[in-house]
Amino acid sequence: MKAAVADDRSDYDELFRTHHARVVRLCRLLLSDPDEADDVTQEVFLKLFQACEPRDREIAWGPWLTRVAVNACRDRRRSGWWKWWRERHEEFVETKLPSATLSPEQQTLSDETRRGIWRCFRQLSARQQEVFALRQLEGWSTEEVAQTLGVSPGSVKRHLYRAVHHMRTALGGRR
Amino acid sequence: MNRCLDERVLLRMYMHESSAAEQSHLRLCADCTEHYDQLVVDLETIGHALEAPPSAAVSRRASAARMPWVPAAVACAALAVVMLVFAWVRRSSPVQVATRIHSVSAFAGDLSDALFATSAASAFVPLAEEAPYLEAALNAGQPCTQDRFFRGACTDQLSALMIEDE
Repeated sequence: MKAAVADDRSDYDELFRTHHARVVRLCRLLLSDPDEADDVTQEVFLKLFQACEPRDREIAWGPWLTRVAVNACRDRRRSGWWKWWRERHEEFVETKLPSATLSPEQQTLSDETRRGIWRCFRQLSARQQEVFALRQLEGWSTEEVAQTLGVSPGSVKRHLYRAVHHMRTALGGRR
Repeated sequence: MNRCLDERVLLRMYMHESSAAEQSHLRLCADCTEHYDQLVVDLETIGHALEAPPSAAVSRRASAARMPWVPAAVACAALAVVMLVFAWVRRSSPVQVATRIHSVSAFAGDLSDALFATSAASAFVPLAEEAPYLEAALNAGQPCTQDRFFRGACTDQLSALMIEDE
């Protein structure tokens, strides 16, 4: 019994080490608020801890975690009665990332571009953000994204195209 | 395929979902190749920007989260405004004005009846009957009867006569 518990713990620890950074990044991308993203990440890994217990289940934990994280972020976005207030007051502040290879002018331009991309990403609909994150950043196939989000593959392609077009338009204005 | 590829097809190509004809056109068309290369650069730029730690591009939402009292204060202020408006509307509503006008007119009617009563006896007799006793009570003495008046115990002739009449 003790050995089984230890095995469960080691499985969970291994999954945590492998996927934690990725899930945090995905949550921060979909929520943009680091505090809320950390909360949701904790929820996701609590669910993982509970789901890990029956050892006879064969689950692809990576996609499972992504699905749970996307759904948790969606729930978090839907709740929160001050959503409107927070979204209307969004404004990006100066980035502090140093760079050894870029000149100060290039660094300023790069920061400006990065802020613009983030701002532009926030302007996408929730569905477009999810599709872009899963298809482009997570590297899922169109069919996998469609299955996870419960939409058709054609809908995934349309959302992806609109998201890319919108962000490229904003990026083009900065070039 | 002679027509140049639009952005939608180029994106499909980037996602490895294009047809063989589209791929062969891309290899032969310099314009499409240039557009495709630009798309790849843009998508990589976007990907790198979004993969950077969000703390590098933190929004002021975080400051909103650090001020949880602001929405509560706004809600309280809104509630106070609503209550004030409700009280003001209630105070100056036509029903209330009508009620107040009605009560004023009723009071004026009562006052008029009391001041200009047609049957003076019915209006003043109870008061007159009680007057000697009230005066006696106030003076801590006995009411002024006719007998006491003639004995010189009191000076209120009117009261003495009224009591004897009863």
